Amino acid sequence: MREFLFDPNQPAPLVRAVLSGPKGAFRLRLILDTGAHTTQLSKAAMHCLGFNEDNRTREAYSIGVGGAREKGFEVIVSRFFVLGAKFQDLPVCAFNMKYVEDEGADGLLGWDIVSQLHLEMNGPKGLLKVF
Amino acid sequence: MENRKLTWEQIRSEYDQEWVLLDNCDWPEEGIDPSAGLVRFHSKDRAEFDRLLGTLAPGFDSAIVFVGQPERNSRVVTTRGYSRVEFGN
Repeated sequence: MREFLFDPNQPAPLVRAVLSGPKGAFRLRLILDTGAHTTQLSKAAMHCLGFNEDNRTREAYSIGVGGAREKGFEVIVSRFFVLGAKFQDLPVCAFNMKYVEDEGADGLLGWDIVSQLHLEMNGPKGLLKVF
Repeated sequence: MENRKLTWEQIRSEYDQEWVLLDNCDWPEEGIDPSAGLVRFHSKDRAEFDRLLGTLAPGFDSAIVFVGQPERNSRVVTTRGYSRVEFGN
């Protein structure tokens, strides 16, 4: 079991992730979002990693709870480290995510990853236990 | 760009409410924040920060970090909760 910290005073739980792209590896913060079907990154962060639409495996459309639809794209991230787990060749979608950036993050850690982890969250203590 | 590696406390003191790009960054895997790094560039404006990121040559042990608590507008609540993704060609 490993323990990871988050700030319970933030409006959303942020976790540290490391992603590798054509321009190298970057560490950044993602919102742990069990309601997001897939892991998503802001287009700005994707560009920083060296990905753009030319690298896309397919087009993607994000559909929010109100039905709003936004076009983005999917790329394959060769290495993705988060919460002590390592994922290889992970599909990650890119969208404009100003609302996420406004909360100090660069994307969403979605259910595709969260569902693979055995997690225990202690909100008041800002503690995530990963078994 | 700063030539010296700053501690997170120094970064927080000097760049509060800014986006910073750190190189040679120490960020314990279990931690919320980095513990130290070289500030490569910084901006309060995310659009400007993104523009600078676009000109970036690869660094090493790099991190993108917002420093401090984001300012909260009590009249705005972001609803993430549920989002799905559909794929096209």
